[in-house]
Amino acid sequence: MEFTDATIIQLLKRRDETGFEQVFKFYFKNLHRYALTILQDHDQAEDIVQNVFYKLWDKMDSLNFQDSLAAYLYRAVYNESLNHLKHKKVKLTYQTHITRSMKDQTDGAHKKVMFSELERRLQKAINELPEQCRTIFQMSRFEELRYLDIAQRLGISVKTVENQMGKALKLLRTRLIDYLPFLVLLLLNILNHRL
Amino acid sequence: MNKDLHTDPGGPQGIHEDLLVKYLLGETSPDDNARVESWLAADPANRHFYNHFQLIWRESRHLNDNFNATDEQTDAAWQKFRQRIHRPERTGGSLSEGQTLYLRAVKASPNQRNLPARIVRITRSTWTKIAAAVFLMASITGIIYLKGPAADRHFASTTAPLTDTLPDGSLITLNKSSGIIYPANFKKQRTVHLLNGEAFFKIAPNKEKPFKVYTNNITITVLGTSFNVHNKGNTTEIIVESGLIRVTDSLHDVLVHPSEKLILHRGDTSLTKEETTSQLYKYYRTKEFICDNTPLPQLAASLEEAYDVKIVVDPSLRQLQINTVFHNQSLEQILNIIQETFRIRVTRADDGQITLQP
Repeated sequence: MEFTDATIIQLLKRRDETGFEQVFKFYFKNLHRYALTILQDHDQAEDIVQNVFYKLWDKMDSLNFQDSLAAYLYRAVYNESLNHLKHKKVKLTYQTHITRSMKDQTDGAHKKVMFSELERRLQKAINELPEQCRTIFQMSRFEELRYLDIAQRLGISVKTVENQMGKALKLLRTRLIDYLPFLVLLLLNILNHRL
Repeated sequence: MNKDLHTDPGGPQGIHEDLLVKYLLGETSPDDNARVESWLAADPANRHFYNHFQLIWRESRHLNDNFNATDEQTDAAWQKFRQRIHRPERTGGSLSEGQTLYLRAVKASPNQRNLPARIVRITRSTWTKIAAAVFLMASITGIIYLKGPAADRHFASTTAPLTDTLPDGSLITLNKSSGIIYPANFKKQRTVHLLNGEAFFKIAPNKEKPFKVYTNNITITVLGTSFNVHNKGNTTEIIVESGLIRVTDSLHDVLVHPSEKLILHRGDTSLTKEETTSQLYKYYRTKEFICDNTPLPQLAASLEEAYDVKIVVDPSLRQLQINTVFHNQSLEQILNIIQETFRIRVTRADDGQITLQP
């Protein structure tokens, strides 16, 4: 990153479009990916990120950055995505119910059901992580950033990143514990072949 | 220690989970590694616990396999965003933030993939209800085609140039990543705002209603003509092909004739007017790079724009001039011809940068 938060925020306050374009393009991919891992829908993910940037542009003067710009953007994408999911929930619950009962009937391969069930649970568990924990997990897992990079971008200490990552894995394990034990060896074998 | 880890949802015994995760991600020091490894060896239950972390980590990777935005999609997203912030002042004021209703009027045109560029905005008022009803019907039938009665029209290109006819019969060709906006009553008020990028106009003559183009705080008044405008951010370049145009801003009032090129810099009182015979600027419209004693750096600059690449020309080659026409050729073919013609070296670095050297 060639610009510091302070200069970016100054650019934004001046409504410098070229400056804003750089910020937009710098963050778009990763924010889009973040929304996408939560929503699993490309168009919705883009809408969320567009809205987050629009709010940033529109409300620049009244925004207060307590931490970094990156922290603000990731937090906003996280919150908007979850809100979006909440609105969809009633519809989804019904759909999931239908899909699952159909699947239970038709999919004889028990192993396969458990596997996708694990993925589904994993996805859900990740999205239930607290915001900061979720963002740091996102940056580490999907953006493949080192602890130090994450700390610098979010304006926090490396120690905090360590704590949050430890917390993330611990929470995920707790959520998934019923699905893990008897699959662990089998899956690790499969994954070892896959990777 | 035969604790059943399957029923224990908490942290590991005798080690901190932060350290285990650091180890998993290769963030540990050699000392840390020794500590984790001896802990793993101490009890199969420990190994089992660690395997859970490993499994979660590896499996989660596949949750993100589905899609990553490309550079082109990022550019398209920026163009979309830009159009949104350049919309005229919102009226009504009762729309909550980010809730402005945008409808895409998608015209079924086989060669307009990626370019559903017409976006019509409905201001909130009585139109909300009408729009909602229409929107509902449209969703049901799966066809959305809506004309906002008083809304401005947008026309924008994303990754490829685009040509269209304006309501008065004038012809406009946008270079890629360019956008214009014009009023709904265009036939009465012939004004076009070039928001960004580059456009070529061929204006239908109409002496009663002058045609105006606004860009970068400059007004171009057209007296029946064809010309090219390139909004480069801080600089605006105008080339006239036929007829006569009048360019005005707060400081200037200039007439530009055919074969003249006018260059204005934002916030700068000086302007440059030069004779030009170069036809290189037409490339995005004609698909031809016309080089007529064209200095190599100038051709390189056009290729950079057209193909989204970075080309560095060695200072010793800056005087070289080229005479040819590249018609619908790929960048590779063009670079090959340049290489052969001048007997120079063309290299491409890992990051895609192209270098022309002796």
